[in-house]
Amino acid sequence: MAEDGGGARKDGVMYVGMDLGCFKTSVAATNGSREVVYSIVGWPKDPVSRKMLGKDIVFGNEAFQHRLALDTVRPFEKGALKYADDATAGVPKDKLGKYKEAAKELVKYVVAQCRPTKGTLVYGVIGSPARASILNKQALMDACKGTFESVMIVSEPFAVAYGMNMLEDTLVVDIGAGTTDLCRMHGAIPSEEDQLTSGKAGDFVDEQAFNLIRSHHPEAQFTINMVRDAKERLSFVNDVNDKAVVTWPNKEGKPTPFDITKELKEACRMIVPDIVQGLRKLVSSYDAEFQKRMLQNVILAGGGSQIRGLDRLIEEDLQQYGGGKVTKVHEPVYAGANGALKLAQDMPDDYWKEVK
Amino acid sequence: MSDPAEEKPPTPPTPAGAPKMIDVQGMIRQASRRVSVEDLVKKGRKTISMLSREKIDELINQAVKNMVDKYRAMAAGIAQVPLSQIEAESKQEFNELLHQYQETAKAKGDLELSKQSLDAELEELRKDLEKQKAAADGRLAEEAEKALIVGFKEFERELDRQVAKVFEKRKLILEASETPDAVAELKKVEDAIRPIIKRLVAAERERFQMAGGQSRETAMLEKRIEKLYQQIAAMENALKTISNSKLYSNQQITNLLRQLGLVQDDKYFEKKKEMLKVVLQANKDIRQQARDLETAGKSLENPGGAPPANS
Repeated sequence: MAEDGGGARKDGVMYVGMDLGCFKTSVAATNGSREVVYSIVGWPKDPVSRKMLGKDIVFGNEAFQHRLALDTVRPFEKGALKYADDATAGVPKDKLGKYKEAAKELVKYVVAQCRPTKGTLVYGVIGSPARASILNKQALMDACKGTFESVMIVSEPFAVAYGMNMLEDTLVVDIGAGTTDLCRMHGAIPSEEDQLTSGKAGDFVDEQAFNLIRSHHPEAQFTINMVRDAKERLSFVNDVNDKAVVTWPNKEGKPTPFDITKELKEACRMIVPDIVQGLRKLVSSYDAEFQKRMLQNVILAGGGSQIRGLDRLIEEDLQQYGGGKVTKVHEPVYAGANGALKLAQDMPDDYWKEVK
Repeated sequence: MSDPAEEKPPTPPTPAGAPKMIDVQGMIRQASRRVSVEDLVKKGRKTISMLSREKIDELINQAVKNMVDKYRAMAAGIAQVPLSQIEAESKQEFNELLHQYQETAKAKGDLELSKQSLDAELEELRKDLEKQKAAADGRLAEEAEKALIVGFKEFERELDRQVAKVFEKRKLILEASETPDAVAELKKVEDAIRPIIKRLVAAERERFQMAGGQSRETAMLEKRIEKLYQQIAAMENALKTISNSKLYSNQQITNLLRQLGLVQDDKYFEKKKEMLKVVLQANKDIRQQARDLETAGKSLENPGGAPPANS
């Protein structure tokens, strides 16, 4: 145990990096565990579902699978704990209590997935959206109380950049479910003006695709989850001859193939202008000498970065500003958690004690 | 071999207490003659090997140092050994060191070439893969997908076994014929190479799964792995040369490995230290500001703050 007055000893400590996403939460720990679970918590709706599930509370993938039998909460969804702007919004008290409880339980569950040995201290770094308010950050810290011995919060894109060791002249675009975070790295901790958050992200794409498909294929029966699933498997934005064909029930309930290529592509493309505009904004307010270099170092992270061809499409749009080079991170789902873990490991022991 | 001598007069010997044992630069000036490049070309010389004065200086000093160390170890006073013997042995030592230096420099060059060729090949493969992916349908039945994943895992295990075997074999050879240092260096290379292979295979697996997996992609992967093996072989050769060399200190070997990208130094080490301090301070500030907001009655339930008591 690192109770030696702040020395370099790290025995008995498990460091955890966590990316609490709107839709999925990923975690990486120093014992080698890596998990990604749906950010969803569910309570059985009635005694029947309680008996069927055999639990009072269900998490992650299981909760997602049995969501029809559960009262589910996505504690980190847009507008809840992570994104409520303290100046403009408030969450109803009764609902907020449930969100807070769900967040706490989810964090506990995710850390338990890393299987820390008994008596191990758990120190963690959590990624928060680039422009999260103090209240949001405090809510995240509250959610970690009782699970972590000590916890620190960093902005998600910064965690990605730190994890990739790209701390200078780099632009990080983290496309999550709820937000797209943009962050300018210039060899120092990014400040407010180095970061931008756009509401157009994965959920936005799903909604747009849902509406487009509904208007073009009124005979199809589908839900937003089915659209999301199709997007994750089939979406692309580049001009290739690929087809995105799904087999969904028609009005009579008969499985029918639907070609949703055009709709998915159109929806996915909708996030690009905001990204390019954001990049331009961050670059144009940067030292003129380094602007070109920064545009050559655009990193695409987060689940949304998996849309095929997105990197090329952003590059094409950047042509109007003199061109740029966009690179996808190696592991989009874990990039935030990996970076947070790296930060946690690099953090001197004394620092952890200061924020206990 | 050396730079052409300059027209300056010979410099006086290095004063006592100077770090160099011999005034090599002066010796070179005295012993060398000036030849124009044109003359060399006329004589049919197409290439000229360059060895800097500093390097010759270093080699001679190292040779002398080795000799002195040798006699010290033998507990024999240098004075008891005939000067001619010391001279002859020093010369021999110098020639040996020079040869080793040239060999090592060549190995380094070969290694860099090998790395460059690998990088180019990987880039080419990446482009090919992208084209294939764009053309691929990208959809597979669930069962087929599962089967592919299982198959890939089996491939990964087999690959890992093969890599372990290669290193184990090399280790046995080195243990039998080389110094413990060579074995330690091999371990160093193994530690650097295996994660690289794992990362590449993981990336490939991801691409493979995403694209639905094509036999052509498997072939490409095999090609890549083959290249990696070639690189390992080149590095092993270089390592052998380095390990045999008396020239290189641990620091120099580390530098060489660093140049080859096998030692990853953190160029942001100091910056990161500063950043971590800032992260700590930011987290302290968050806590303090949250406390202040709480005191002001602000919370997520009531972001605007508590209304005055009399309202």
